Amino acid sequence: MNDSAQRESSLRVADFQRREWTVQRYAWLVMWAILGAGIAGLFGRGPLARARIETSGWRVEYERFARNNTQTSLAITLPTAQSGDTATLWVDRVYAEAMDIRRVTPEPLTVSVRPDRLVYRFLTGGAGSVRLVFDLEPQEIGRMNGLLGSSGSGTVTFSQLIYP
Amino acid sequence: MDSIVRAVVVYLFLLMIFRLSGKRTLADVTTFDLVLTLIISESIQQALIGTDNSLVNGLLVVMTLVSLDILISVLKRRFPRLDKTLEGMPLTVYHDGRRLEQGLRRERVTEEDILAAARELQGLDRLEDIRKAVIERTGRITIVPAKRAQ
Repeated sequence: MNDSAQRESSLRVADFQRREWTVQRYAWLVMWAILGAGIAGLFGRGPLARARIETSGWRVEYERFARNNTQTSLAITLPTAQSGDTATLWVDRVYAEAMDIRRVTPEPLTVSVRPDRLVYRFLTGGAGSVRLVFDLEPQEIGRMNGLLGSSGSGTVTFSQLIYP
Repeated sequence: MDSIVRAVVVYLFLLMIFRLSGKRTLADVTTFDLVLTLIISESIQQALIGTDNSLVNGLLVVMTLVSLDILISVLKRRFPRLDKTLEGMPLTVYHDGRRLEQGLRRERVTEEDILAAARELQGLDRLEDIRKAVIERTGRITIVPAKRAQ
């Protein structure tokens, strides 16, 4: 290899190295930005992920961003009639199947299956509202639309994004 | 968020535990050291991942560990004292026929370890052929041969 060819080759190497370093530095910035978003909860489990809906006596707390195959919870405070001692809550069946309900606290008295929903009946002891916690483990990835309802208290809809 | 915090805690804990255990830990991997590495990684895996088996969690944990490593390497370059604290200093344990006992004892290095390094790196098999043996910051022993052995 003559002198000029050698010089050209080392210039090419230097140029490549410079570009590699530039790409690396930008990649670090992207990585740190992703981690910042992760700490904030953009990928689940953080302040940005927590969401709450309050409407006509209902309070639904859930994770806006959740992860596939990883436990998440849905806490529902449901208004109940003072007269009766049971409350009924139904969960859209498509949502229930996609989210795999692992545990319900307190345990329901009965669970009945309808074509489009699962109906849970709870003992309330005549309290004005009841707090129910559903432990879920998402089985599907992407946007999930939750739909809950209760006889006499209307319905609540919410949306969750499930990461792989 | 919790997976990132867990990864940071695990990284700093491992950094501290290996620094405190001395230079030689896991430097030259013997069969037992390999088993020990596997046990450590197996025990720490649960702490890192917990019950979250999602892909996002795995990626975040890896990204956290790599980012911390980059960050600490940048800081070490900027602050020499931090570099010294985290990585230590090379330690001479044999010099011109003299064994530096305190270093050998404290770093748990034997004459056999020095001879093994001498054989491996320089093809020397006698202490007299070694001018200097140093335990480097990585924990490896390096050898400077005596003039007549070169």
